[in-house]
Amino acid sequence: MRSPVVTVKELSVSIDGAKILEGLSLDVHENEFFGIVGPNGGGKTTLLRVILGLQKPTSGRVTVFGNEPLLSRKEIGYVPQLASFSRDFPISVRDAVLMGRLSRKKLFRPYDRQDLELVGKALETVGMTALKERHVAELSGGEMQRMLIARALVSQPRLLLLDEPTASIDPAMKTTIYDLLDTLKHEMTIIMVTHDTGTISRHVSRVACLNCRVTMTTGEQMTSEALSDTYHYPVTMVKHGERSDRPLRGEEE
Amino acid sequence: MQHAVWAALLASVACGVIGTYVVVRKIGFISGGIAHAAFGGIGIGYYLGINPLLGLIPFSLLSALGIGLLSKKGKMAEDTAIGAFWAAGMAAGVVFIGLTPGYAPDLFSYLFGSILTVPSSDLLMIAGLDVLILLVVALFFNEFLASSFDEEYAEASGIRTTVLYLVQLCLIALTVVVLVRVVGIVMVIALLTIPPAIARHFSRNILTMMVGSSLLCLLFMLAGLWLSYLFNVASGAMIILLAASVFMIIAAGRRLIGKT
Repeated sequence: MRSPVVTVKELSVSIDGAKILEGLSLDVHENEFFGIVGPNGGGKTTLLRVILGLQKPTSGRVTVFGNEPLLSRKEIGYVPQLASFSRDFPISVRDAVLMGRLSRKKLFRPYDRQDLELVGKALETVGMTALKERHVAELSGGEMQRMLIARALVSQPRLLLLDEPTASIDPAMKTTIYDLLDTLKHEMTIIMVTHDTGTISRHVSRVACLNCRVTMTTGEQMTSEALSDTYHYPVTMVKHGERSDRPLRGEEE
Repeated sequence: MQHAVWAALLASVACGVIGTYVVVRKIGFISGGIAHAAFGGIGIGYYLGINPLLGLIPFSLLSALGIGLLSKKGKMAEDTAIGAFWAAGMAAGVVFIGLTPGYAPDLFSYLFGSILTVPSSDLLMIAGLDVLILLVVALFFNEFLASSFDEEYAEASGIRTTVLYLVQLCLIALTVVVLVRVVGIVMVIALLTIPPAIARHFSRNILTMMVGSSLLCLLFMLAGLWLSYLFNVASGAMIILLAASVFMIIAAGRRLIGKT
């Protein structure tokens, strides 16, 4: 039995009086590729924020590598949603990725040669070495996502958290990102929030269907019924490469 | 005149560096609030019979911390906190000046600037504040960059973003003190936003944006000073009009050639 990397016990979170998560319990194990799906407002991003230590639980407990989330920050790489920063910020890809070293850097100390070497390696891993001097405003949606993954990887994390990394990008780039994550899952534990219910089932070992409460399933066993319960309306599973007469409403969200 | 050139040179350093953070963090309105609230400090300076700039420093710092804490920790809408401090500071200034016996001789120079009348003592104070501002920016450069670019990510990396934000607001407050003699508290917001906004169009990183913004600041101040002499009008207002005109021409030009 692999040891749990993330342990969530009876977690409840309320924000401004609104109940976001209620009585949530789950474990994520070492080198597992774990998916979280669910409707908007279902608590997916909140769960990631609790694991990152950015959101305090109302009740219950979360541990990361056996410690409080704040104490494990150095071990966590985080890929936020695109909307979390302004795209016209004057910064190059290399400098943006360098920020991933912040959790390892001491205050007042500049970045050193090792930091720069790790940035080079991370950019190579995501296939963006040629774009390192490019301004972030000049990146496509897919390139931006790969840059954010590089920023997370440069901190040499043991746990990688991704918040909808395949949103708003074309299918070819989506495949590239999934291929990259399939490679990375052998080196670290991955937790990924997504609306991409059709594709994720082929890549993850388990999925949490989250809508305030959680229903656990394996990727292969993720069914239309389980998703319908989570989304509270009929959802039809479409595996890529298959056809369906009905639209996948889970993906439309 | 020599003093005016020195004042322009020294003020443009703080203006370009801190103005860059104001623009990339989109906190121009907060800067305006801090600048206007600082009028209370000028009133206190007059009331106590000391150099109004000495009253301005603690008052603008307290206003910056008040606005920052209320909006970040007090769960109050940011514009509400700014509005309250903006009006209360101005009102405090009016009350203290009203309580001061006699006439407030240089009041207009603090409200609308008077770069030609900056005394040596104020130049020394501005130079000292420049050194302090540059030192703090150099120490926290990478942390400021991270929290300005992606605050949530910086926090997830263990950076104390609220503390950094408050430090940045305090630096804005000190820059207000530096710029008051040049353009006055009413128009400080323009110098903190227009030169960096123009410089951003031509900058690939935040350091070049700071340098470009400082050079533009200096150019606007010296050219505005010359134009004010030529047309015999107030220097502070001429500096701002010149900066705003260049900003609008560049914005229109970029739109015409298809760059927004």
